[in-house]
Amino acid sequence: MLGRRHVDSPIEESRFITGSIFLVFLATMLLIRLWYLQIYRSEYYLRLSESNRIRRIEIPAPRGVIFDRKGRVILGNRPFFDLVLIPQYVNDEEKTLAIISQLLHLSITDLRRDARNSRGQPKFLPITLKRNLTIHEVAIIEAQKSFLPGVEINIAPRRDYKEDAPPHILGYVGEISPEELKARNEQEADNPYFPGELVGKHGLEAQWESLLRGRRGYKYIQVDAHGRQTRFAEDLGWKFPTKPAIPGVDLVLTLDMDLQREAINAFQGKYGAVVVMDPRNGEILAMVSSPSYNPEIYQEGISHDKWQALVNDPFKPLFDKTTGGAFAPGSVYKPVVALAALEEGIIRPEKTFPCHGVFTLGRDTFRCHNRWGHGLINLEQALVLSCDVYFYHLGVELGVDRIAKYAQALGLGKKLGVRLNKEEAGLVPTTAWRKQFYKTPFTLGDAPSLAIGQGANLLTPLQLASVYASIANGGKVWRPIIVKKASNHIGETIREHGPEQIQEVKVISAKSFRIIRHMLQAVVEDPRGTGRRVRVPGHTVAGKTGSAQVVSLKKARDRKEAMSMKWQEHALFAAFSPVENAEIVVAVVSENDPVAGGGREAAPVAQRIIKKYWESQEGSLEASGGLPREESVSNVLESR
Amino acid sequence: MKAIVEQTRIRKRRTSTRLLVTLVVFAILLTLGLINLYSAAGEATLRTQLRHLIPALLLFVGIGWVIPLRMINTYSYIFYSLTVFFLIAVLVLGYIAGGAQRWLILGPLRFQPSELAKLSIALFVAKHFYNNRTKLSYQLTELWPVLIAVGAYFVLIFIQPDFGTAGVCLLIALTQVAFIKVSISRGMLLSLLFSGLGMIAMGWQFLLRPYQKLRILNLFNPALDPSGSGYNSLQSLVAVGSGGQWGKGFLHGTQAQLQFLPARQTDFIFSVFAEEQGFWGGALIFVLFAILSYAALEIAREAKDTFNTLLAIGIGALIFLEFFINVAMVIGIFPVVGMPLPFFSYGGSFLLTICAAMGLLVAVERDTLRS
Repeated sequence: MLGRRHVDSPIEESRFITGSIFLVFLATMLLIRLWYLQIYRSEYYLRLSESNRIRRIEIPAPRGVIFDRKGRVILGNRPFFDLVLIPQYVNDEEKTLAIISQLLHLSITDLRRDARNSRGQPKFLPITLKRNLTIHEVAIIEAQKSFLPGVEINIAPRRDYKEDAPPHILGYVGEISPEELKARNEQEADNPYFPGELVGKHGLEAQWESLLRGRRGYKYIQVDAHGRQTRFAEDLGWKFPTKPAIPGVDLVLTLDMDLQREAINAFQGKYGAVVVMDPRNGEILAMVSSPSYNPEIYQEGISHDKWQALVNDPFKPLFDKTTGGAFAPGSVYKPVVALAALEEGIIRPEKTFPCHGVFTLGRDTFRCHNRWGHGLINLEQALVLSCDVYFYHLGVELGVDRIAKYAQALGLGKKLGVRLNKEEAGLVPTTAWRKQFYKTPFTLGDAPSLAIGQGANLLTPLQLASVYASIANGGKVWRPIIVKKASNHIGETIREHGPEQIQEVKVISAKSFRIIRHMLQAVVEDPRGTGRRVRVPGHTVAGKTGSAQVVSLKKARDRKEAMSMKWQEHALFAAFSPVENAEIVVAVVSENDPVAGGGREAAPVAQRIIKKYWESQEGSLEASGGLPREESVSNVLESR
Repeated sequence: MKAIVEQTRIRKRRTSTRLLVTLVVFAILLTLGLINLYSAAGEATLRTQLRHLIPALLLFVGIGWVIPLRMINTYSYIFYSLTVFFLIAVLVLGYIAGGAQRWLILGPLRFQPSELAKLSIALFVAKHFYNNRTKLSYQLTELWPVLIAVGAYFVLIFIQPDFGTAGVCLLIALTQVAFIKVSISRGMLLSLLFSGLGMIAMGWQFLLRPYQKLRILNLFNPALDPSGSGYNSLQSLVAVGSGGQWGKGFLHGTQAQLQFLPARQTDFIFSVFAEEQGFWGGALIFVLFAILSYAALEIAREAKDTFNTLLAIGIGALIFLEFFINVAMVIGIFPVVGMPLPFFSYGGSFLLTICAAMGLLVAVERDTLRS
C-alpha cells in the first residue's frame, strides 16, 4: 500500500484518498450540470438553437384583381421592388444609410427616421426604406451590395394602377396606422397585419379589405450565423412547413369600362359627378367623381406636404361625390313634383297655368328663369321649358309634406345602401324635419322654392340616378350594386350581388309614370326642349335639365341673404334611354358650372355616354349574330 | 518459490493494468478528439492537426520509452530555466494573436511557451522536493523557492495575458504541494486562507482587465451582454443544451455547423461534441477523463520515488484541471478563460504538451514496473 518509497518520503499518503474523492466530486458536479442542460432544460435550449438557425420568410399575398362586367382587368397587380434594411445584419447603420442616401439621392434624415421608427420591432424584420424602386435604382443597389450588408431588395406584388382606373370606386391602399393595426389584428388574429403593411383605405379596397387582401404565406429557411441561407437543411432531407400565399378574392364589378372611359372623357374639365346605372337592376355601369387623384401616390408612401395639399384642395379630390356629395337638385326635381301633383289629383296633364315670369305669394315674389314668362302652358310644356312658375303653383297647392311623401316613396331622403364609400342620405324637407331643426315652422312661402328643387332639398348624384331609374322602370327602387361577384383563387364564388329591390313605389300609378316618361321624352325631342342636346339618333331618350343655386343648408336659414347673393350654379342633368323599358340611366352633376344651365353643359355629357352605350350594344349585337347577350336576357327576365 | 512466482505475476499483471488503461484511454480520447475536430472544423483543419500529431506521438514514445526518466530528472531545472527564457522572449519578440502575446516564432516553428510552462512547473516542483528531502515534514518557510518559481511563471504568463494558463500552472503546483507533508498550525492555515482571499480581491481590483471581469460577471448573468462577451457563453449553452439526451448526430449539430458556436475548434470544442453526441456522449468523455486522472493518481501512488510521484501527480493535475476548467467554462459554471480541452482542442503546441505529459506518465509507470 505504501508503495516502494522510503519511510521518510515527504509524500502524505492520505492525500491519495482525498484526491480520489476530489476527482469524483468534481466529475459528478460536471455531470449534474450536463444533465441539467441536456436533459432537464433540453427543450428550452433546443428552441433557442432552432430560432438561431430557422428563419421564417413571409410571402406577401397579391390583392384580389378587380374586373369590369365584361371581364376586363380594371385593377391588377405587378411586382414592385422595395428597398429594405434588415437591422440584424447591418454592421454600421449610419454608414449604410449614408451610402444609400448618396446612391439614391434620398434625404438622410428621412432614412434615419425610418430606421429609428422601427427600433422596437425584432431585428430580423425588414424596414422599408423606399418603396417602388425603378429598375435603374435596383441595378444601382445590386451593384453596391457588397458594401451594404443587411440591405435587400424585396419583391412584392403591388397595385398596378392604369390611367383610367376610377380612384373613387377602387379606392386606394396606404400604410396601416398603428391604431388600425391593433384593431384589425384583434379581429383577424390568424392572419395578422404587419406594421407598414398596405391596407385598403377607401372605396372598394377598404370595403372589401378582408377579402381582397388574401392570406400571407410563409416559408422557413435555414441560415448560418452570418444570416446567409444554407442548403444544409434540405440536404439532410429535413422538411420545413411552408405555406404559399393565397391571393385575395377577385371582384367582378358591374362597371363597364367602355362607358366609364367615355364618362371620364365626356366629363373632362368639369367638377362634380356622373352616375350611370341600369334601371332594370340597379347595377352601376359607370361612376365618375371629379376632380380625381392618383391612387398610386398612397402606395408609394405619400409625403406630408402632398397629403396636406390633397386634403386642403378646395375641390376635394379625395371625396367621392357620387355617394357623398349632396346637391340641391333644381329643376331635375320637377318630375317628382309633377308625379305628386298627378297622383294627388291636383292637376291633370292638360291643366294650364299662365306664366308671366313672376309668381307672387303674399309679400314674396318668385321669379321664373325666363323673366318674360312662358305664357299659358300645360304640364308637358312646363317640363319642356322648365317653367318655374307652373311648379310654384303646384308647390303651393301640394304643400311641403305631400311633395315629401312622393319623394320619399321614390327612395329619396335616405341612404340607398350602396356598398362603397360613405353615403349621404340627402334631404327631403318635411314639416316634422323643420320643427326638429328650426324654431320657426315652414311658411306657405317655402313650398314654391322646394317645388323647383331649391331650398333645403338635397340629393346625391346616385340618388338622382336612382329616382330617374324608378321613373324609367315604373316604380322600382333598387339598391345600387357595384360588385357583381366575388370569387376566390380557386374560382369559387364567395359572394354574389344580384338585383335587390329596396322599395316599390306603390303610391304612384304606372300610368302616371308613363305620362311623365313621355313628357321627359318631349324635353329631349321638342325643338324648344331644354334637353335637346341629349338626342341620340336612332334611340329614344327622356331627360330633364336642372340648374341649382348653391345654397348650403346653413345659409338657407336666412333665405333673404341667400337670395341676395350672387351664386354660381350647379348644372344638372338626368336622362334614361330608351323611353320605355329603359336600359340606361345617366345622372350628371356639374358643380359651379360657369355657364350653368343643365341643358348646355351637363346634357352633352349624358348624350355621349348614352350614345356610347348604344354603340357598344349594337357592336355586341352584331358580334353575337344579332342575338341579345345572354347577360341582358337574364337581366330582363329577372327584372320582369 | 511457486508462491513468489505467482506473486510476481500478480504484481506484474496489476501494474500493467494501470499502464494498459492509461494507454487505451489515451488512444480513445485522442481518436474521439480527432473525429470531433473533423466535425467542428472540417477536413483541412483535421489534416493540419494530424500533421501536428506526428511529432507529438514521436515525443510521446520518446519520453515514454526511449529517454530514461533519470535524465529528465537531471535536466528538470534546466528545462525550467529554458522555459523562463522563452516566456521572457515571447513578451519581447512574441507574435500577437487575438489581443495576447502568446506566440513565439523560431524559424519554421511557431509555438506557445506558456504550454511548455505547464510541464516544466510540474518537473520543477517534483525535482525541488526530490532534491530537498527532510526527515518528517516541511516547514512552511521551506517552501519559498517553490513560491518564487511558481510566482515567476504566473506573472510572466499572466501579463501576456493568458489568465487560464497562468492559473493552471499555479493550480498544478498547488496540487503537487498538497501531497507533501507540511507542518502547519491551524492559525497559520487560517491566516493563509484569508491572505489568499485578500489577494483575490486585490487581483480583481488591480490585475484583471475589464474584459476578464466581464467574463466572470457573465457567469452569474449571461444576459449582461448577450451580443458581446456573453454571446460565446450563451451560444455554447444553447449548443450543449440543445443536444439533449442523444445528441443531434455526427456532423448534424446546427449550432456548430452553422457557425453560431464561437471558437468551436479550440476552447468551445466540447460544445460541438455535446451538441452532436448528447448527454451520454458527454458523460462518456467525463468518465474517460476521470479514469485517466485516477490512473495518474494510482501511478503516482505506486511510483518509485518522490520525483516520480510528484511528477505523475502534476501530470494528472494538468490533464484533470484543464478538462475540468474547460468543460465547466463551456457548460457555464466557470468564467470564460482561455483553456483548451486536452485531446480535443485544435493546436500544435497544446497537442505536443499533452502527448509529452502522457509520455511522462508512461515513463513514471515504466520506471515503477522496472524496479
